[in-house]
Amino acid sequence: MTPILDLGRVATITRKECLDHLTDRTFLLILAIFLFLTVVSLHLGLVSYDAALKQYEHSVAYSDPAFSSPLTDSRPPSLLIVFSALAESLPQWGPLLAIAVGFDLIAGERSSRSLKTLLVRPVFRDEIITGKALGGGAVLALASAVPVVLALGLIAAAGITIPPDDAGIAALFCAATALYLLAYFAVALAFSSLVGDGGRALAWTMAAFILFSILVPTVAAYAGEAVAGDLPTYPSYDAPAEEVQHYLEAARARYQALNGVENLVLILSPDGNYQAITKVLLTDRSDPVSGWGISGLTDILGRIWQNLVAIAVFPTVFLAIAYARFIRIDLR
Amino acid sequence: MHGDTSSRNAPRGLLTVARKEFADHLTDPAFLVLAFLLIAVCTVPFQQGLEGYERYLALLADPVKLAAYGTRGPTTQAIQIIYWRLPDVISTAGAILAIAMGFDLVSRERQTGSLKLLLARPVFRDEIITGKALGGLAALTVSIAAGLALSVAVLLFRGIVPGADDLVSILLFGLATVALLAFYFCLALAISTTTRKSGKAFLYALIVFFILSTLVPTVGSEVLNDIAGPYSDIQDYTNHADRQSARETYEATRALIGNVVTVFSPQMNYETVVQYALNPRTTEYQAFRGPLDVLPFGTEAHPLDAMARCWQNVLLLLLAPIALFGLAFMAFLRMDIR
Repeated sequence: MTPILDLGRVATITRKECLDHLTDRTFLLILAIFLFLTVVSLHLGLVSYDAALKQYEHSVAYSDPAFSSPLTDSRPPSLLIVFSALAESLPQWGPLLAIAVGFDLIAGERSSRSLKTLLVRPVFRDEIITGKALGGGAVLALASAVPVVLALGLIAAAGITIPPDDAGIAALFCAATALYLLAYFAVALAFSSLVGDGGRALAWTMAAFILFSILVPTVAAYAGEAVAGDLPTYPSYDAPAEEVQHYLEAARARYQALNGVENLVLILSPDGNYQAITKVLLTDRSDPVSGWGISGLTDILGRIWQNLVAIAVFPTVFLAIAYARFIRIDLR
Repeated sequence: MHGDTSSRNAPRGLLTVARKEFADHLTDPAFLVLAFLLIAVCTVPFQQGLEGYERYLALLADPVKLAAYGTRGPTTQAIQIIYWRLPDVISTAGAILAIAMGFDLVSRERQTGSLKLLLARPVFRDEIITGKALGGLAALTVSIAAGLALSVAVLLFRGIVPGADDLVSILLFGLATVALLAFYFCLALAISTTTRKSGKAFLYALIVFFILSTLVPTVGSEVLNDIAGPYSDIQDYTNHADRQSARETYEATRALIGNVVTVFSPQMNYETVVQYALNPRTTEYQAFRGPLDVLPFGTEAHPLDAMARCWQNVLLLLLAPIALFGLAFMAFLRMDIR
């Protein structure tokens, strides 16, 4: 009986695809710019960590121990500040890198007719598409690991100890980045199998890019505001306590509605999910109820699991489209 | 006479190619989807602009709040409040649209062999490349004009009647947008004439676009901060005259680096021109810092006068696409087609 998927043949194709990407000059150019921007943002991150550390030292030196309480005490700055500049600059080049890896995988072989030659060999169609997806995914996983490793190396070189929790969060950040890149790679691969010509495939992929990275986030913000309505008018300074309490509750309900609707629409956008995940991971680690303290790794996972699922489902859908289309493609 | 025939036929061949290209663009599904997306992307910022305009009217009607702005009054202009959010989204979505229009104009005809057939007809090479550029430019202009006409219709529908100067402002904004998109269109066309595979041509054009739109501003602001240094350094001078001269040097350095970066960033140049067009009261605008000086509220200022104040930027905006077209033209004329 023939196995469903011959892993040996898949591995051969994966290896060939990886090597192709890693020796492609255009890919290397984009990767070089990507890494250059990474280094610039890591530099910015280290500078702001330094500034935060100085401020903390200042506040510790001048604080009065008599009035010390866990609520008012300033905490040492988190190392993860270093990553937050990276999380902001990554969406500028990451999608282009992912799209460049994916858009020509099938369309290119189709227009140069090497696909026919390939299919004459004893290899099944599903093994080809699986191998291509795995190869591209591996290259992108590498591309998302490099900035994190670079950052940890720079931090260690600066003589700062990395707490284990922060290392865990850095690993989560790396995984989220890989999924984010995979999302745009999957879109490019889907269009590459849907459209016969590489250039056309890229044009449609860029249309999808505009849709998911610009249109959906602006609509999300607008829909949130529209559903939540206007902020109630601030009570006058001599208003009774109940009125102030009422205002505070209304304001809180409004922000909850705004965030709820916005997040619901943003689920559709890899950029929205990625931003939500990195925000919780890197900047907003305080407990959502009390607003202070630092949550542990499991708490954080509990808060971002929906976004993680959404950012993982997105590429799955597009990979499924690519797979289904490639299996039935008419090659003549 | 032979020379007469060619000069008489030249415009006809050119117009035929341009008309065919124009029709091709307007019936291309990818162009239609991207143009639709461009307009869709603009809707929310435009709607926010309209809401901002309502607040602006309420501000103008309230003397107490208006007094808070001092004797010079608000620095913004009504028409600017409605449109100012658009350049940001247009410069990304529009550039992708323009690149998608130009990337395979030559490379695909070469790939499919239709270029040979076309050149076998009585039409000159320069007519083909110029016709392709004109056809694309016309399609770009039509889509921008349609979008702006739609926006003016919405304004009129909501009872906002733009004055003559406001209409000129909107028109200049549209022209600046066409010039920016023409830059990316000509860039894609130039790459298309020098690259054999259309997929690669698109990718190269996108790389140039991302370099110009994200790398240049990032590196520019880094260089700016490194060379000019923090503003707090100026406060260290105890002598008043020293501090004054240090501040002047600081301002001059910032302005110079800002200008240099603007030359290499079509997006920032475009935003500068749009700021002058939509707010004719602007007298000084600097990259990374925005409008620095604006004439007092109520001063009569015309958009064309404002264009004269930023003529270097306008010139750059208009010349950059022409220069790229020149490259495409030369490469196409000397292309080896076999």
